[in-house]
Amino acid sequence: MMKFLPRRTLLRGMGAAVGLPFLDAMVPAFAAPAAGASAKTPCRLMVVYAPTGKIMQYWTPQSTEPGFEFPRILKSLESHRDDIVILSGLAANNGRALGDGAGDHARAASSYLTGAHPRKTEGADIRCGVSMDQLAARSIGANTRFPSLELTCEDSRQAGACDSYSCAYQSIAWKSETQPLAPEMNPRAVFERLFGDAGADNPDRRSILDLTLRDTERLKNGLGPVDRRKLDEYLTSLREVETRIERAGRSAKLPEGVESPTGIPTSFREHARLMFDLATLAFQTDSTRVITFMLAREGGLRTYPEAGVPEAHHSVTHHRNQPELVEKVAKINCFHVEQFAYFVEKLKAAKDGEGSLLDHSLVVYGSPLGDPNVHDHGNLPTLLAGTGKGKVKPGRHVRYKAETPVANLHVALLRLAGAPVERLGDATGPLEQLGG
Amino acid sequence: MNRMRNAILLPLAAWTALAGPFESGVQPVLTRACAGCHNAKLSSGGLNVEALLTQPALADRDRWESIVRRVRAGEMPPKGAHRPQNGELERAITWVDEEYARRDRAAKPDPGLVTVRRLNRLEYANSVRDLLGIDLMAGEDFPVDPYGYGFDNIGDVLSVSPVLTEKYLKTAERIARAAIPVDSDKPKPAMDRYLAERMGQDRMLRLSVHHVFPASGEYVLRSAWYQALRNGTRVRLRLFLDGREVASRILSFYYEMDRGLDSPPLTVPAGRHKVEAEIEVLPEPAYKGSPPYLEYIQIYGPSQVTPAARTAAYQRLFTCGHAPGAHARSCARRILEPLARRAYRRPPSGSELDDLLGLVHAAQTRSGSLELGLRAGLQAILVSPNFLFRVERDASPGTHRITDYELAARLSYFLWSSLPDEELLGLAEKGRLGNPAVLRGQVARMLADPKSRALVESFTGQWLQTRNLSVLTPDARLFPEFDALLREDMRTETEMFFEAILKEDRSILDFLDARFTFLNERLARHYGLEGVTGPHFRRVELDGVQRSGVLTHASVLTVSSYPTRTSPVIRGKWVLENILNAPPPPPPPNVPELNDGAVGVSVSLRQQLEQHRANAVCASCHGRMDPLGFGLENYDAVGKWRTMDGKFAIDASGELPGGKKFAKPAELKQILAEQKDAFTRGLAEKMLTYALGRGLEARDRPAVRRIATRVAENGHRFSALIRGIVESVPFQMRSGVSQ
Repeated sequence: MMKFLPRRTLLRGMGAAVGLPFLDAMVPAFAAPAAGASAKTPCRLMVVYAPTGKIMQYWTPQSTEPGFEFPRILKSLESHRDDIVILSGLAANNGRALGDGAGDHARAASSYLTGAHPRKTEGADIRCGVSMDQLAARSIGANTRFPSLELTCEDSRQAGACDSYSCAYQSIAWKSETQPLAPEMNPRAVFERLFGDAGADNPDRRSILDLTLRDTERLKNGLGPVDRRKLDEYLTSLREVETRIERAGRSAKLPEGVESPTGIPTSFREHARLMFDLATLAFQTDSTRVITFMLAREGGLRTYPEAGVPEAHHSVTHHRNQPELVEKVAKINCFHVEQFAYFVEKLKAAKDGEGSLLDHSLVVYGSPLGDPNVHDHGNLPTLLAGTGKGKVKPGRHVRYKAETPVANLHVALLRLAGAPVERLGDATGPLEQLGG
Repeated sequence: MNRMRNAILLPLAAWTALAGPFESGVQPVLTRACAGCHNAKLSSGGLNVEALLTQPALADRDRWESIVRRVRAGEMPPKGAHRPQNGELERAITWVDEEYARRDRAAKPDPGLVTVRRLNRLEYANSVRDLLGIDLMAGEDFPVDPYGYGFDNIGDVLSVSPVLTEKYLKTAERIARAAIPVDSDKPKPAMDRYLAERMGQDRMLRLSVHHVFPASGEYVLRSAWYQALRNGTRVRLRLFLDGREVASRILSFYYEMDRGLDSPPLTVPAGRHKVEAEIEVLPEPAYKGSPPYLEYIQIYGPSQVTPAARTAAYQRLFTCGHAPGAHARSCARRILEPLARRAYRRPPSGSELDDLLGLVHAAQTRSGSLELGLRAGLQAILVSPNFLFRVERDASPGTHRITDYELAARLSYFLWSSLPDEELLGLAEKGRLGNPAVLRGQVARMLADPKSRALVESFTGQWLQTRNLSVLTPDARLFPEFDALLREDMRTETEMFFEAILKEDRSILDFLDARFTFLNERLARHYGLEGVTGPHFRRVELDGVQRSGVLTHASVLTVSSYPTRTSPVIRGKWVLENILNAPPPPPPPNVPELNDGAVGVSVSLRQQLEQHRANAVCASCHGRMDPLGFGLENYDAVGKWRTMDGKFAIDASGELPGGKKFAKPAELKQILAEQKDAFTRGLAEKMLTYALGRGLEARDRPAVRRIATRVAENGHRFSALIRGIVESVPFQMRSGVSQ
């Protein structure tokens, strides 16, 4: 914990920064644009993960006709009607047990962006699939300083097992089949990563890295395959850092007046909004084009006294249709969406080339479970904000055939973002009707 | 828990030899007693005894051991079903258990496979501290380590991400600057302010922070309070550094007065120090308003930087006796070699050392200073995979003993969560650590060392899950007494209790029923006990008190509750997992977990749960869990004693499967305390998992059994448990991996 600067300072700073020409002026300083995106306005991809399901009758609009009524949970987004599409009927089949027994929450999180069925283990031989954000990071992230960012408001500090699986399965971002990425929870750490010195000022950094790479290669010899894999993770990470240092010369200048946030706010609202501020900053400065943000852990025990729910989130979600519990879950659902609405507002206000950041982004807001009471892995609450540079037709509610894989959405988004892939988990093809 | 799932498959000859007693004494008996429900058609509870009996005898050990346990506990055959009365079922079960014991004794040593282990955050911080002699709380900002098998030191689960790698590199720079100060650094004074509100220590009379002082030099500490006191009120404000009072002032309050206290400039060596502030309203004149509270602790400095050569860090490292700037070229090797040896936990190879020296000389040439050259060398050591990973090499392909250096590292990370000290390395170098007497002596020495505090904190917090206190938030409206300090007090009680058992080498059964604990005034009041005054903890005897053992610690009772109420289910599960070594299976998929967080006001929690247990599917597990939790219902969700829950009187009676009854918590604990063997085995398994950094498997059963037997034979002494683990096959050996 460091000296205290309230979040206001950051916001004020950003308020001043937004709309100033410096961002545009900065763009030419960046290197060759990623494939498929124009230099001026790259397409950004983000997933905002709201855990542990929704009260679906308060989420899903009744009608798919234009001008449909916004249900209770989505109310705070109504003023952004023309910037979002609500996608109903998607399913995450690989979150289901498929013979593996208990552990719906662990599977829900790890299968969400991978479309893969996680291997059930408490530790040895963790295995799932590469997640869509990491596939994007490999291509559209290749020319930014950070291929991707992983953020959260709740990390797995909880001791004990995680829903019959290793706690590693709490991650939604998977760099490889065997390497889940732990998200960062501390806004200050995110800020320092984005705008702190990348190490370019350490004159010995290069030779230290070289020596370490050599050492690691040498050490690998004669080890078994599992041990080698562990050291390979280190090797890969070292090379990535090396690349980033090379790019440090092109690093973004901090918008004037923006100051570092301090530790972790105790209020969830403040914490979530600070993370959204940082995501906006990261996009504005083109430090990254790919972000995943978990509002909280899947099946987590966080309490929401701010939203009038002092009980643990997970325990109220098994509501057995009791009105008072349903009400509590609904309150949390609304509260989460309100924070997201703040972000949409923020992206919309941020000028980016000819339009706004929102215009040039594809932002998924969703949960890997429908009705949490029965761990429903079908009928997932999903919406998409932003049009990815006009490629998505907003202002609609689209109902898909039951059991359409949510991975189809990922495939479609990767294509729109300029990072097409052949396969992703159980996807059967790109999701249709996004363009209208 | 899914460990130990792999069945041991014996060669054909081995099981046909057993055919006699198995076929005459087990097959027919279990067919009669169990196969009525557990058959191919019904497969009740997922168990088909018929199939099990046609497999090679006792092949599926998991299932057989579960049968033994459940029959012994009286859970099976269930109430209402036919139970053979002539003792044949008990005899069959005893035979099965003894047969496994016999096989374990005869088993060939199989140490299993340990994956290379990345240091976790605690191990990293401690290793840096013990490598350089400065505590920099390094690694505090690293991502949280993931858990596997209940612990955060499991090699298979610990991975490295780009984020972590960046932090390794940055942290290495910071460490190198602090450990090798140079006068040209000229660190600028900075002000760090810790707001009470931000530290979860709001509205407190005492604040406490651990601050890392970036360089040796002079610092000024400051604290101030809120609250407009009435004119004339006198308060005493005090500041402490590492527990020593450094400033104190008595103030009479007037509105315009400075509400803070500054320390004089204090010379503080670089590294972590504890800074505390305390405010006290003096009794004269009487003050009746709401109490004042501290607002922040602030640290300013360094204003006068200690010359590099005079700092402890420098003197520790620069052992060749030259003044700064006047070092001989050979100094680099003399400094670097022992550093690399400690960091890598073995002597560095010739080429490793040459590489490091090459780096140092290049940096020295560039900067013109050996110190700056050594900073580069130290950074390279700190990001070397030889430091960050605990790598063990297979000298031979088969099963073999690990080297003495590897054994030294396993010992030190088990007992200290840190690297081996000079004494261990010295013994390893001489090849003497394998000597049983030497090893025993070292274990005793290490347990007595203050560094064993790491075992206390890390193991206790994870085994008993009291670590979760830091992320749990009991509902402030229902439990206004719960705050950050009470949370700390709860944790302290359990840690001091564990430490007492370790340091006094007491029986591990004390965990279940010891008649003493450690309390301060706050926690004693929480427990409704008189006669304990002041904030410091002391040993308290518990005769005639409704508390004994960890089950009645507020820490354990709080982590096994919901934020708004108790949960007999979670507590019951906690007892099954941590005390009886009989974790319940996870709930069946797509059946919502029982939720007792929604008890109406019209029926008691107990009535609701009993209704739920009327369902036979639920009853098979909840019949075991819930009664255990009911026995603890006299303790509320933050561990306070109570006799009423809302408008319902607490009924803490219960009946366990098998018919054992109890009327109150003390009687339940009596029943649990009789389950010595189950408890001992469970604790042995958990501690072995922690010591090895991997999940246990079927092949570890002989080792666990041997450790548990040894503990029982030695009066359940804690030291017997540690020694049993340290001398076990999986701790001392490796299975070579084919390359």
